[in-house]
Amino acid sequence: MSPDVPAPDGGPDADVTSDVADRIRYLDEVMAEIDAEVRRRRASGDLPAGLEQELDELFLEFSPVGLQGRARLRETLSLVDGSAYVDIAVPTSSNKAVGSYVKRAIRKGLGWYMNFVVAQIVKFAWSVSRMFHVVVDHIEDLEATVEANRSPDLPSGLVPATPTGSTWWAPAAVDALVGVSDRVVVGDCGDGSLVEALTAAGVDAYGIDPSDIALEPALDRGADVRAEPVLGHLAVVSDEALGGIVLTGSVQWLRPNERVRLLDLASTRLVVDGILVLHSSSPAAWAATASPVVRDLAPGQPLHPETWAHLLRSRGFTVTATIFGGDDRQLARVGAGAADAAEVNAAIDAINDLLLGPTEYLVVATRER
Amino acid sequence: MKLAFVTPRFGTEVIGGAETAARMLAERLCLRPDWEVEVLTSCALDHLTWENTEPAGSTVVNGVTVRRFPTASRRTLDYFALDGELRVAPEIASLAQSRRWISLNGPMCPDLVDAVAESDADIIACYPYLFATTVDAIAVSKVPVILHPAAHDEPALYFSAFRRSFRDIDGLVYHTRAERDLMEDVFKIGARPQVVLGLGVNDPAGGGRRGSEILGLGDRPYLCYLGRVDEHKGCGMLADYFARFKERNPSDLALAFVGPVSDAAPDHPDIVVTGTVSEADKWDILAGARVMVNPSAYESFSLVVLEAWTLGVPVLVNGACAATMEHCQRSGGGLWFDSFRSFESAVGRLVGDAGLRAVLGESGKRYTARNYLWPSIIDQYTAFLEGVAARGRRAPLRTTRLDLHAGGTAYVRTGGGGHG
Amino acid sequence: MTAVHQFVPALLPRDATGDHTRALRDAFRSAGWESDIYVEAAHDELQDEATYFEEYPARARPGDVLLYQLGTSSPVAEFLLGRAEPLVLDYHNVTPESFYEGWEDHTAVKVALARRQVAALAPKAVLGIADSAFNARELEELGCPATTVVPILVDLHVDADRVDGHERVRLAADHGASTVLLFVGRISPNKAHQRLVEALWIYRRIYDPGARLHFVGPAVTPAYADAVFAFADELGLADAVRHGEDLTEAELAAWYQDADVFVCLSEHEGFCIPLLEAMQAGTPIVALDAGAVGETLADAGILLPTARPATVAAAVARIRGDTALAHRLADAGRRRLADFAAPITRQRFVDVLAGVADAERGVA
Repeated sequence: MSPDVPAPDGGPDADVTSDVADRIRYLDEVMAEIDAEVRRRRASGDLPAGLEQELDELFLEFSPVGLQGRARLRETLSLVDGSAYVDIAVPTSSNKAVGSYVKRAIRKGLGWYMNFVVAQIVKFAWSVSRMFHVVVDHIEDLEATVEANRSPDLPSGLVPATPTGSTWWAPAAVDALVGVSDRVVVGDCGDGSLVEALTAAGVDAYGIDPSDIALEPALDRGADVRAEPVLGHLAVVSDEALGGIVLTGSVQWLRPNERVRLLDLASTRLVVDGILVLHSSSPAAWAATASPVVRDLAPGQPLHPETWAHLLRSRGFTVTATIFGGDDRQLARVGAGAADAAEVNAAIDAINDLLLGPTEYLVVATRER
Repeated sequence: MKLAFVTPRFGTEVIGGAETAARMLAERLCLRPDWEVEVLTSCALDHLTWENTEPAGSTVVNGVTVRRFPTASRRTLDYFALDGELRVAPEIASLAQSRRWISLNGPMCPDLVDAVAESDADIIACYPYLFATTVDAIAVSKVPVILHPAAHDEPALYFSAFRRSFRDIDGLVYHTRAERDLMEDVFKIGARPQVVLGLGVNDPAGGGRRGSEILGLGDRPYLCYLGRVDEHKGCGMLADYFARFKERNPSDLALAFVGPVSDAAPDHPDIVVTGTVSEADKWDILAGARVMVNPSAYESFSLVVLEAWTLGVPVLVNGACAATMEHCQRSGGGLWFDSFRSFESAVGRLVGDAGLRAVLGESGKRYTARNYLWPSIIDQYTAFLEGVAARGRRAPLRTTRLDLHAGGTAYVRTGGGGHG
Repeated sequence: MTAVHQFVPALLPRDATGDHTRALRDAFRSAGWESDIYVEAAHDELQDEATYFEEYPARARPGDVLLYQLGTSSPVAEFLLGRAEPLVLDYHNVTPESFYEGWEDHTAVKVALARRQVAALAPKAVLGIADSAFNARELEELGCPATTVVPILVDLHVDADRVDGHERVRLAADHGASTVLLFVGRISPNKAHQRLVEALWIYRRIYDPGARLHFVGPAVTPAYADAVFAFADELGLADAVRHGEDLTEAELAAWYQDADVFVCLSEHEGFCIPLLEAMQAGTPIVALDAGAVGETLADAGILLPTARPATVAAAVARIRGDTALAHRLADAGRRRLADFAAPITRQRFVDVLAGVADAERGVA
């Protein structure tokens, strides 16, 4: 193909190049300023979470793009059922008395013929509608089968409890989220201490946890918490409705397809520039300290922070920080005066590196455009 | 701070779950020194016709300032025609059709909507979701507006006009978790500020008489049903099950239906129908019952279950009803049935095992005391309201009001019967 | 004697393809060639400029080169597939049917057929001329042996007298000092008019509560147009949106000059002539980078990676708040326009077709 698109400006090459480069740079700057303006407006509250999303969805009300999924099948079916009956009782009322009489007479005379024709039509329509029912039933059976083949959840009695009170990573989470103007949800919030720390720092935070019992202290103190699991909750939140999401606890042992679903939900439910904070044990620490029963029965296990970073980046997040913490069971080095200090310390360093590093980490990420 | 309730009907004569709940909340809230409460409502008491029967203007009812505005339209036959057409497939009704349904369902009160737009309240609370007053109030309110949906899983819930409207509210107050789950599932508003409040239960106010005496049963043990006697509430099913139970398990057990009668229960030697009784008698009958049975599948909260528990009386509920099941499962204060067999075995066990009844009743009593006493409910409510007011009003996408429907043949109610 | 005959499904006056076809015919004739136009249908006004395509076989002569103006489905395509003369395509792109599904199913069927015809014609042609690299890529993917990019032949008169002064005054009186966003284009789903409505809503909320949106163009997809206007009504924008239809050239020029910013959020364009019209009027341009828009615009406007209403509104605000930027963009537009000057394009077409004719003679 010959590149015959007229390029901007056909003047002498050297001048052209720098001129063009200038113009491109200038436009890039303008674009950057536009992006910055949009961010400013979001931060100031002029553009509340989810507003653009709602505009898009409002238009859908006017468009033929309608229902998704099961509801569409069932509803369309009721329409088909409704229209499968053909009524031959032609309305006969008329403004004129005579007219009414005439119409009724005609109807009676042709009734036998109409009956026959209509019976054929109704039979056809009904068999079509039956066909749809068969298809819908079949699809629903398939869906149920797929659902039933899932691996079982970790039994609720074994689920490791969220530690109560404040954690090593709470201050870092609060720092990351302070200044977020939209609602922030804390998943697996346990006794709600992080929710309260965030609220105290001026963040509009609320918490969710599948366990009623764990939530009781929080509910007693009047914190904004409720009994729901993270995935189920994010599914009933609308797109771009949240300024921040904190994940801990069950995020560590999700089965792989749930992890994918969680990332998809997190990336769409957050506003652009929204913050995701994810806390997890390191895989090594999990292997060493979680109970064998939990380790064996949990459908999934903790990932390395690099893996989370990779998964998040693939969904349009930028990782802004990875912070290590938790119990640090590292061995202390021996003093220089001890026997064979150098060899011992080298061994200690190796053991620390391989086995005993920080047991937990925190990943902080921002949703890009 | 000032709260303005917006509700289609209001008054002590109005018998309807949502309207009564709004009134109870209003009356309790205005007892708090730093809270002022007013109610904006229509002049109609009958939601089937929307006839203006009360005078317009301001009155005080049980301490609450009530401002009434005339309705501008009556229910017409067009409503029934459109409802029949749309309820088959509500989700694919167009926005225009669903808005027309809402305006036909009414009540259309332009003056009330103007009052909302000009209100000096800090928060507007709309109750329940189904009516034009709610949709219009949300559209025009300049201050934060919250919704008490009182929602059931019914066709109207799926109209797209509600979906659009509820995206503009600043907070939600639910009766039960089941209601919250339903609303969040349908409207995807999980991140919106919310509280599951339920209702407060009043203190028992019996007259000290024996329930079985009031019923004329002598010493016989009895089950009781409390509420309007109505097919929709499962009374026919209960009478039927009870009759069969008695055939298979002869004893002196009786069943009492206590409440106004809409659909007559079948005659049976062991069934007593009392009709409407006084408050004192109601509490006394309840206190003497072995079990309080609620066969309805459509309760949105079921205050009677809590009332039974304040007296330590165990309950038996319909397993298909999310609200009463939630109470039983969270409290451990009752059993449930989902077929005649399970009904038979539950009743058999409960009637025969006093220890079981005591344990269930105790659990229910503790649960009720912990969650449903008025002081703690109002505390929770005011804390929630303060949070909502602090966040301010979301930008509404629309500020257009519903169209006032004109024309159509007026619908005139015939006969008596209970209110809706 | 070189003969290049054009085929076009419909020859209509005041229509981009129609004007292009007739201008090309004039250019070929000025080059001393024989050149006629064959159609499936012609407007009354142009009856004597066109011949029914089935009459071509009787007039065909050795050495004829056929040029097909390809933008929609037509029995002409089937006809040309059966001819032996060397075929050159002038491809203006066909909107993918996904845009029409649900809105106008019969149109969706029609464009699906058109796409099938493009797929059949591309490998058979000796050369595919495309308005843009975007269009050329499609032809290549369909197996066209050679492609080249030549823009649509637009003859934009730079003539101040052609602006309808009354219309300008009327428009100005209507909107006063408020910001005016303009989009010119058929009201059909791929042009994403609803996104302009969303952007207007946000713009009025944050920057200028009185801002207006002007649409010019026929509602070719009535269901979509109805939805867009109902949507605008729902958002309370009924008084803020104006729709101009059946405007004369002078009136259209007035609308362009009256506007503060030309905004195009179209999701699929093969070239987008209105961008050039905006450049001619000196109206700053904000456009979504989709289809061939980026190519046509080059650096003569703000090219957005997204049509999110907040970003579009911020871009418009940026221009409104910075007269230096507005001037730079207007200058860049005038410069860019020069690249599409009619004489240059005319010559390109003549050169390209001459090349084809020569090659065929060499072979023959």
